[in-house]
Amino acid sequence: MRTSAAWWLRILLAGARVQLSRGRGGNFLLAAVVTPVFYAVVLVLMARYFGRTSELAPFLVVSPALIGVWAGAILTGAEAVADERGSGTFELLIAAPAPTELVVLGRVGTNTLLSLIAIPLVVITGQLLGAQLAIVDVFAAVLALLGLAISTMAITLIFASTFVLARTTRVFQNVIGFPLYILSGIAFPLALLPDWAQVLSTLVALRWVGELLRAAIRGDSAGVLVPALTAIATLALLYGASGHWLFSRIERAVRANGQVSLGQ
Amino acid sequence: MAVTAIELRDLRRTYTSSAGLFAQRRVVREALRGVALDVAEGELFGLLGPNGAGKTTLVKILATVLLPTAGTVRVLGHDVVRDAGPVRERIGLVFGGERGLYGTLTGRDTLLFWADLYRLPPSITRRRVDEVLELVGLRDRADERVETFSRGMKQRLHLARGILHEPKLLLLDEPTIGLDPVAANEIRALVRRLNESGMTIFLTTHYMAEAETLCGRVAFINEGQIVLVDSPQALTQAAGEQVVIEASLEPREAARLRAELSGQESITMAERATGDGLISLRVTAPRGRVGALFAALASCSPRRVTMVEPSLEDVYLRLLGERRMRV
Repeated sequence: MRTSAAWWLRILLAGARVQLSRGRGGNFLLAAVVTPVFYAVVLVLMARYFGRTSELAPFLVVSPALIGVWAGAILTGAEAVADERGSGTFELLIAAPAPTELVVLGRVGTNTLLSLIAIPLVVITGQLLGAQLAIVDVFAAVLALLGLAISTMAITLIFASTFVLARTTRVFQNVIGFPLYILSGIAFPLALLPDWAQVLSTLVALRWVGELLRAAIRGDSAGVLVPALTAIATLALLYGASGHWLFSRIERAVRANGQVSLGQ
Repeated sequence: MAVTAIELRDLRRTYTSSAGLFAQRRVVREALRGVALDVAEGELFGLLGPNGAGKTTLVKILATVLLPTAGTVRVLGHDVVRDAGPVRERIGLVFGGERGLYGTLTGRDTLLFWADLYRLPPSITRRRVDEVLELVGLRDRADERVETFSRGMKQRLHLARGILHEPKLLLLDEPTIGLDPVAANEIRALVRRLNESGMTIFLTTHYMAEAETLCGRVAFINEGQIVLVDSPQALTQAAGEQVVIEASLEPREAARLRAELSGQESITMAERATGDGLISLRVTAPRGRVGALFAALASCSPRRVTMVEPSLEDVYLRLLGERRMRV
């Protein structure tokens, strides 16, 4: 058991090394860093126009930052498999004894961690434009970010699995984020959503991360901390298990229908 | 008693796709049609056949990348469908060509990556990586990015990756395709050494001379079926009843001779441009027809005529029909 765990860690780190060497700097920086900073500028300036900057600061700053992290993760989830196919390595990964999904997870996990850089950048941008943000409960904020990283990596495995079936991933990767951002209520109070959407939003880990982060900023995280962390942990497990199940099924399906290399 | 490294029984593989812009119709193509074959441990076995004959499909099934549609496939005693894990641990897979490498990694990092995936013990990984880099002659360039490597170096790195974990069976799918003669010979020398060290090797190739010099046994595959299995020596001896004549001709004369001989039973031809504006025509015919063949040749004013021993290529052409050979 210990040997397997050590081996899985080696595979994850091997995937991380490949991801770091591949760079993909341009696309990734645009999705995870530049776009959230622009979102922050637009939102903060709108709030300033209406004179509600300080009241809305937690939404103005938290939402672009979380969108940046997820956008970067979705992008990498989509491109990791496409990149393996493009390099002609996907067949070799499947023929190797290591679980292919762990290599993919190592790749997307690396970019998820890197995309966390969007958070300080957005906070600084907000500060420069007058959206002052003081994190009262730093402990809760750190836990929220940890939960964000883990749950994002887990859901990205689901995206990566479905991208194994796809010939082109660009359109899907551009569109899939928005319903999740809306359902998570990171840019507005969840009460604005219809009841059925509020029920669905409980399945989106980003919702709980956003709630906990805003509570940490306001300093009233005591009542939110446990339910939010429980929800994030449960959803991360659910995403991870679903991603694993999907990846195994889809890998077998493409081995059966001869689409491992998709005509590369 | 020799242990069976590869055991195929009635192996079938079909591909289903759809065609048509508006009214989509299902297209089913049979890539392998009832293949049966045994390869013993320690053999260097060659699979020969034209493009689309099913060679790569067969290699991918052996490597567990593709699932068979029907039939039984056992590799080193393990079923490739039910026991894919043990099969993957015991085989090495090398495709020909430049794809299959991360250009942004160095040669050494490439091997360290695959060492992790093949679960090499960390205590021996660095030593083993150095060993295989030395074996394939890449130790001096090991810390340079793969994207700066020549095609031959990339193929040697592929081979290094394939043998890193000391597999019992190495699957080589056209490992010398697109390489210049020097680089191809380096790969062939490595393959021979690996086989001499006891590794079973299953090689697919287009190059008859490669199979003739390397392989202990070869199989010809055509349209998804194994046509013949034997040693290259036995096959060429059996072809000894044939004569092979090579003639260099003006293109017009070559066309005239082809027209004259085509359709004649038991005569096969292959041609290639020689680079000096002439066509080299290789004609295989029964010994009893040598006189008629020379008479036909004499009327075409050949620049040069040579009679050679039949090779595996002649056996291949006779079995699989006349095909233009490109060099």
